Amino acid sequence: MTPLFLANRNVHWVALGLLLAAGVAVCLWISSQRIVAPALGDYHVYRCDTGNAANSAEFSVLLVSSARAREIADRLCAAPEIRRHYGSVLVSWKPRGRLGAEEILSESYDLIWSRGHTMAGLVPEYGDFYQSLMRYDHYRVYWFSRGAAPELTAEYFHGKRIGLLNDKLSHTLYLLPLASLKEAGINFSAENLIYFDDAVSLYQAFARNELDLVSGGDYVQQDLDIPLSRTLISGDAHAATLFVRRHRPAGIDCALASAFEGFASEYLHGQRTLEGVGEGVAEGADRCDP
Amino acid sequence: MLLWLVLSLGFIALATWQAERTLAQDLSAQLNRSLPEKLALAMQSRLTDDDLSQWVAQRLEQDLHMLTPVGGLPLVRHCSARVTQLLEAEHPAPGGDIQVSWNIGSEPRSTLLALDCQYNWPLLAATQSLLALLLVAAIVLLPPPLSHVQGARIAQLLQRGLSPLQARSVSASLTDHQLMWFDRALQRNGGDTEQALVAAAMDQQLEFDCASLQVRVHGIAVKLAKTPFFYYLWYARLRQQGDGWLLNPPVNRPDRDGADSLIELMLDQGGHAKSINDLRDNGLRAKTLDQNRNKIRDELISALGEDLAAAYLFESERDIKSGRYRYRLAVDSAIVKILTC
Repeated sequence: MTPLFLANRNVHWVALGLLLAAGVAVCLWISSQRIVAPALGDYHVYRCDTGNAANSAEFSVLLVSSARAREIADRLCAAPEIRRHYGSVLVSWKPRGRLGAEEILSESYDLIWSRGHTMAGLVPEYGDFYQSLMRYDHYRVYWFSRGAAPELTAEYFHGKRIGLLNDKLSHTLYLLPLASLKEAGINFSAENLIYFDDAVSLYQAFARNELDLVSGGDYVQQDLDIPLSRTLISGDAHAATLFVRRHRPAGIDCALASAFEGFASEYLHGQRTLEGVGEGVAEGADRCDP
Repeated sequence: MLLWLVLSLGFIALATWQAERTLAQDLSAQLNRSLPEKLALAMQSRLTDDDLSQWVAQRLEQDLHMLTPVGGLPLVRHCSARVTQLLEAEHPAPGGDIQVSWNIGSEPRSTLLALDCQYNWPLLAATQSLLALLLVAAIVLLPPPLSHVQGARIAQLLQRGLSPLQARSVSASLTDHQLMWFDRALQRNGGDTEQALVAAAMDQQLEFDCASLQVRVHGIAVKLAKTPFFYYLWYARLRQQGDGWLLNPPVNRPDRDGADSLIELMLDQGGHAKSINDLRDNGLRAKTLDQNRNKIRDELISALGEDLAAAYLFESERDIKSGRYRYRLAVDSAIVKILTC
């Protein structure tokens, strides 16, 4: 016979409860699972095949923005000159500041979207490895405001909350707007300058009405999609230079140039000049156009 | 059977819930470690770019298409994750199993993923129903609880000095009436629980022992004086021999013939000479009969209490012809036992 206390009603219910709890615990324990860590690719990288499977060489492009990156890669892949020399094209994009000197020295990229002063800042003798293929100039930079068009006067700027990028190499978001303020005779230190670590935060703050003025290119209107007024700061800013590796197959420069066709007018609203310093494009842009 | 079915279904539901929950938790932890940087790098610098978002979402789904679960039991064949929202500002809508938080610059973003898993149903059903079966077996093996009545009875018995084991085994069979007998027996025998239990469990019985001049009522010894004992025995014999009725003789005319069997009994068993002589001289007198019945009655009631004694005493009815009372033992003759007389 079982001990008397087990036959007690309350003890009986407690025992039932404990049994059930034990069952649930075992069920939970045996059915818990883990997952084998999935191999995640890089999502700032786009690769396409040229169709030349026999060639394992890869043409690698570095951009600063994802804008049109995949379109450029696809165009390169479709170009017969590229197919002749390369099996695939890889386009990656990362912020300007992420480009390192060792990547220039080791010639990690065949094509780099950057600026001369950025490249020189990293590796002064970058010209030994890269040369300029195209320059994008006449890039327009504006002051944007949510109200009436900004006026370039000290009275107008006084008391306004002005957003800047905390990057002393940035033309659009640091150098040009500060130059504009100086031209208007404004004492920076007295004004309400607010610095941001990245452009997205800056524009989001502007969109949330935490800033009265920001600078930027034509893309601001496109990206923010709110009614804005603007005043030109500079119509001839230097937007970027496309650097190409000196060591490259002959005859691909025109294909590279045409892959960036329309890029400037649609996104940057600047003008491009094909520098044509390479051996492949000795005579400049005219030689490339059909 | 029904319990088993219900438990099995419950466990299967619980197991799938737990499997999915732990998988989502694990994947969420892993993605929260590796994904924010990758997404921030891919989606940096642009405020909105639906086309890019779609492409990144697609790539991410490809990478998360064949997820391999590992567990103590291979309950899940494989899983895949769908991107429900790639770019969501700070407060995401509920519905995603997995939330990955990251930043574009200092702007918080969340990516929501939904997990879909293919379960190994046969194994899931088999293991969970086996678990349910074990649980049902354990529940069945659990001793059944006592009723309140039985619990109270055990408490009563424990109070009377029975061992728990004894109390438990007796509690189910002992009626309230038997408990009264038990109490009385215990009181009379000086605390011998064993003997009291025997007495309580006994059927109705009225036992005469001429050797010790004792009656044992329901196993409880009641000592009577010689004369009342023989009267009692005499009434019992009458009960055994026929319907047991004995008409009280008229007050002025004692019954001489009726006394013979009683005189014989007393002589046989060593009754008091005084009583025997009285019977011989005067015959059966109504007064003597009444006196002795009353003595028997008093002794039994003092020994057993009114309630228990009642059944073993006398019943009476008025004789219509003579207008006098007649008496007999109330108990059935079958329960009367006469030893060594």
